Amino acid sequence: MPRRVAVTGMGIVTSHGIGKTVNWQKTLAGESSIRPITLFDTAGYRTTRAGQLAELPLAPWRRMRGARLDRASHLLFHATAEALDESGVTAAAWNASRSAVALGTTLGGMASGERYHRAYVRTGPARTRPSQVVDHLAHAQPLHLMEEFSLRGVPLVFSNACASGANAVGHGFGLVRAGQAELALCGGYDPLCEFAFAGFHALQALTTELCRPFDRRRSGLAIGEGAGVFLLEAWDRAKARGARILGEVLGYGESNDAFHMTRPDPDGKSAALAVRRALQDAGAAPESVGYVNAHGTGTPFNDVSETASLLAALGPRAREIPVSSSKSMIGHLLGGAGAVEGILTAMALQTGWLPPNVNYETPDPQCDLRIVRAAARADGLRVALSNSFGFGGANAVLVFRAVGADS
Amino acid sequence: MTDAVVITGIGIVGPGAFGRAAIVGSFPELAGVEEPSRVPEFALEEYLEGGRAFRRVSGATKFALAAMGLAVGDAGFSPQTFGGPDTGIIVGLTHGGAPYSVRFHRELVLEGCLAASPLHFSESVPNAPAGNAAIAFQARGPVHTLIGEEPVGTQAVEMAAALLRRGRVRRCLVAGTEEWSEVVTHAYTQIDRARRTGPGSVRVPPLSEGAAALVLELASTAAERPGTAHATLGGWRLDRCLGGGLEEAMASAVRDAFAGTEHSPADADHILPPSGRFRPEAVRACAAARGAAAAPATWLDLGRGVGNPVGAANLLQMATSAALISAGKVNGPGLVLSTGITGTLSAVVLCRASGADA
Repeated sequence: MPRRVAVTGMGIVTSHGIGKTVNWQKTLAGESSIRPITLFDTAGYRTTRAGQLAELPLAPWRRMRGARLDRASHLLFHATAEALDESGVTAAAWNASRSAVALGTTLGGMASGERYHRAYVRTGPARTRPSQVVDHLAHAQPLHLMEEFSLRGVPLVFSNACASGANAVGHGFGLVRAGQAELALCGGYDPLCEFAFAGFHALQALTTELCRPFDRRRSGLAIGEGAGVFLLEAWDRAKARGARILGEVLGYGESNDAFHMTRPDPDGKSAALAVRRALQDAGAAPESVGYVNAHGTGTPFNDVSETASLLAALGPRAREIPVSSSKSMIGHLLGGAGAVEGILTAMALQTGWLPPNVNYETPDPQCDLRIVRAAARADGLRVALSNSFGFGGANAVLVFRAVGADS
Repeated sequence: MTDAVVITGIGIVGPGAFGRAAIVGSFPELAGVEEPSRVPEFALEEYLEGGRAFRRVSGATKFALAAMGLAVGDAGFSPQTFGGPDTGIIVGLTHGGAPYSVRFHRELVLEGCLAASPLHFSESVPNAPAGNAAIAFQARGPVHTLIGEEPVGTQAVEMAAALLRRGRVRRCLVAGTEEWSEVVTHAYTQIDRARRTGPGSVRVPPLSEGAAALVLELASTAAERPGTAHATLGGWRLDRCLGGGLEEAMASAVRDAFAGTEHSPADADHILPPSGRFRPEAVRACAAARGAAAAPATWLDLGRGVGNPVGAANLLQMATSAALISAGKVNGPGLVLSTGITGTLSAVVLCRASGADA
């Protein structure tokens, strides 16, 4: 019999700020944290704004020289510290248990790689700092993190583009549910860096206006940065130690479009397969879904494909289910998106409030979903989905349930 | 009883070796080439039907697709029959298509953002090899890219085995791929120079490139098709050693990897040492785990012949061991050791598939 999986800790960093409190307040207020970029020179770009965290204090690393670490490591540190602190799980308890770390990122500490390569090109190979190459690798940040928090083991690092964070959470969930781990620290992260910004700019995927997921006038995405970390725990163990259970991960589904490297399959059939698999995994009927936190990038292609996938998987009732995308406020966090949006979904279930999809003004007949324009009460909300899709055709869907909703 | 995970397809693309037969044919010296760092030029369509559609991909993706094409064919499938919603792909890598990342960033730095090629960006993301492979083989199940040091191949195999045993996939392609990069090689040279006096700094093989792919299935599924099992995944263990004690950690990993098999470390008849750092430590750890009474084993040092293709190294080792077991060049069990620059390590045991004698 599969075990139930409890969420006992969550940590979040986005352009809204550090921590759940500020993120939830600003999310429900519908505040936009898309602002002018200061991390690199934006001259020549068609847009100069992104979901950049206004101030990122260096995390208080004790075992490593924090000032030398990439921004990615600091984002991950803050989110992890909050999740571990909330869960009350100590390093000693972690190391005495079967435990796993699974984290997702698209480009890891790419800003460090950029610094190394810029010096390589401009001043010659002899003037470069090799630690920047080590630090830019996508697995460096999880390794630093585990060393800092004295967590034993080898991290599993997913790099499935924008689905990475959701894949990592789904993997951690699978391990705990199957009894292969008692505790799983899982999530995703990506800092803002010029490499990714320039890449999406070259693909002409960035909006020069407001990010408006599902709106007829949507014109692209806004890049963001951040990290989201869950502490998942076997339900019975969490109950036995008196932990505060914040929510339940109920299911996970994944699939691949096998269609195109950067474009989603327009008919959304593989994404629908991921939704169906997630619900089947959760043992939940489509009728039980009361909210969908959409991938909702605000690109013309994604939002149509995602609408098609929800209609295919949930039937005509998909048009009645409240749907919103938080990318309209904080941007697209790439590898961090799935985990951060999973946390916002869990918080919606915890509080009974639905996050808004800001900047939505003009309905699109091709995206005929019930978009949440402003934060709304959702009494009786029990089950919610969080969708994540990415380059390379990656589709990942998480199912969350409110505490007490099983009775 | 747990259904065994078996290797039914093997594909290798490395400096001096293409395909399972090339490895078997060069035993016991294994592939040795004059210039170990690079894979010679080749046309992808020679190894993958429809490969021309992928002519603009990075080297890392091209190597992966060729190795996967070989593995899929070796398992008795075509690209058209291999995929589907129950087919998974797991790719492990460290730097992947670094030359495309370098090209994209060079365009950005020297010519400005409007000159930066979208293709160089989309093909430089770490999951480009896996994403392209999903398209090539129409794999619509779980498709993942894992990033790590050399032992990432063991993580990929572990994940594939879990997907198979949980019934999430019916078959899974596991691959490691890496493309040589001047910038990365320069950085590693700097690191090695800085660590000249530390552990793991001696006799490091040169960075190289290539890919290896395995088709994994449950033994029962393979028997139904029927497919030939080249070898069985006996057991594996991953760990990380911080600071000193790498030898002890590796010896423990070796013992743990054998714990789930009917063999002991002393039974290993061939051993593949790490292709990267900490080779002497791993060799001593292996000797400690095997004990003084162990029968002599054949040491197959891929690092000497093909260098260190980092994220592809571990799967290249496993592919080699499985190919040799399948061809009867060795009996097995084989022991594959891997170490990473920050102390990650793994041990994998490959055994002769049951019924392989028949």
